[in-house]
Amino acid sequence: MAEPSHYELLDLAPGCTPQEVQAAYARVKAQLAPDALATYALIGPEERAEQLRRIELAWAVLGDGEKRKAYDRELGLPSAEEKPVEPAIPPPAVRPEASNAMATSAPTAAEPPSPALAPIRAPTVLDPPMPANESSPPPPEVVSPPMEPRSVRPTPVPGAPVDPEVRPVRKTEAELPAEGPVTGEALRRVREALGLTLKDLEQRTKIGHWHFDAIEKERFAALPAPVYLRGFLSSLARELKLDPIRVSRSYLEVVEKGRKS
Amino acid sequence: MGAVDPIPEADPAPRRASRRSPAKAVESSLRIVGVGGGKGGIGKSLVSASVAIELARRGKRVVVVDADLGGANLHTCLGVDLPSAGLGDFLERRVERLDEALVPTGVPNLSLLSGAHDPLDVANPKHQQKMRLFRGIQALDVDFAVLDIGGGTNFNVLDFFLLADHGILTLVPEPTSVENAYRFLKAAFYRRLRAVETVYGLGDLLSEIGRAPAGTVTGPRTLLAQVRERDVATGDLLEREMKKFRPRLVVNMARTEGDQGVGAAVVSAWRKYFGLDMDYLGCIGYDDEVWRCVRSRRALLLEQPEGRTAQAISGIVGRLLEIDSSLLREEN
Repeated sequence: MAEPSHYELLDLAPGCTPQEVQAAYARVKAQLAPDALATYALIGPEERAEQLRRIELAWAVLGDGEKRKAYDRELGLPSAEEKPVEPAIPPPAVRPEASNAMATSAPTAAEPPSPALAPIRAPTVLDPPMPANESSPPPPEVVSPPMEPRSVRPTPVPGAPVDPEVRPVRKTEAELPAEGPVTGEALRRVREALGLTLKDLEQRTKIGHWHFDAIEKERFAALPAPVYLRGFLSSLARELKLDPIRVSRSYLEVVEKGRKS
Repeated sequence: MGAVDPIPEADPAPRRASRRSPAKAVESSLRIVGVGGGKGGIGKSLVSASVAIELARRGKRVVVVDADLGGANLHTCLGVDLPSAGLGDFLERRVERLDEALVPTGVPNLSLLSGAHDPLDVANPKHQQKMRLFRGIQALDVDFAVLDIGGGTNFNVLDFFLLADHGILTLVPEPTSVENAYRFLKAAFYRRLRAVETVYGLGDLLSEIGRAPAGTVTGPRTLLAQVRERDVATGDLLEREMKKFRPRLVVNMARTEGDQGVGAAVVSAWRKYFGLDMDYLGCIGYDDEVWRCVRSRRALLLEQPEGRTAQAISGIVGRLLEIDSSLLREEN
């Protein structure tokens, strides 16, 4: 009865296709809607919010080819691409709900959680920073969640080998330094440690991703007036599980200093 | 679920009463199927009658028991006239053995233990009467005893469910039924744990968790963590006991495509948010023929043996037998 893995959260078996991940994400999210028949009497609002957060985190990892590979490595699983034709450890059968069993016929049994799956761990970032290609002009106001599995983007680093197997692994903590100013760089590190993209933040907070990009890169001229910025920072902090007051106060001081200098 | 016996109450000799009867200990092949759901009007009697008929059709020797004490009407779902014998005869000791109180159903291999002639106070049997009834059921010389269990979550209802090797939870895709189904399962689960709490010394923890309001996630996982903190070995024992609580699920009266997905969603939610497993047996679509048959007091599966409800029941029974075979393999 360990904490469920990202796969278990989405009722998936390791080795499933990106399409299955996407369908499972949509289905499991729908099961957590406030009026969903199967869950509304079983969990309260706080637990619901927590589960939704986990589901989003699972999707952020499993829905992204590179992150999923890294996660599979963490779990000690062969990734979908690396898997040999006849795997030494056969993956467990997909649960009936994962195959969208339409049930006038007898469905297959719900398999017990695979013992091969380790407890959920604090996410770590194995990739170098994303290329800064998200600071382009503002997109339309409402951005729907990514419905296509994200492409596996090569992230070349000058002078570093690109093979993910030999690339040096850099782990990042999902915490701010205990003291000192809250910088854009520190916020970016926390975000990446949680496996969140700028678009994820936009989707959750309804605040345009370019604002978060400007915050992280400390492009002060592009930031909104402090009265708005404070709210953005608080929302960002909440998504990153940080103290909203410390983050907004400290970052506004950073802005203040930066603008003066 | 029947591995741990029904549940000690304030009985002078609960240990003696909670042992499996000698008849079960001696190479009995009896498997008990309990059909519950915590709510009335969701088709428990129809499911019980239909599962029993389908098992009999497949050549199993079956007794279907009207265990809805005080609200018995299973005979009507089977198309049997008001039976002349039944549970009351056994409870009031007019007969000594349960099989003397059985009535034929007209279906080969299938007999009924009716509750239609129950004495009026049968809904609240004394503990000893209940244990005698359990022992009587366990001593039946058949392959399957199918229990049609009443609604609610009182101890008698829960104990019938816990007596079963296969506890089938029936629900219809409606909020009231799903709410009651979860409540029923949680109540049954904690009652089962009570049966072992004296062995594991869990009393305080269980009381604390039993009082947690609906909608909180204080569930088996939390309980287990708390027990493990105290003692790892006891935690392991408890986890094994918890895993034995594995209900089967049937969704009845599904009207829409969305309804057909409710079963899988409930299994998934139960596992993820309560931390326990459940086997989904299948889904029965809403069928006007059901009430037509009840109105004319005929058994649906006999009236329409090839109808879509009959086909759904056949799938459900097939799945149940698969699970049963795998359980038997594990036990051996």
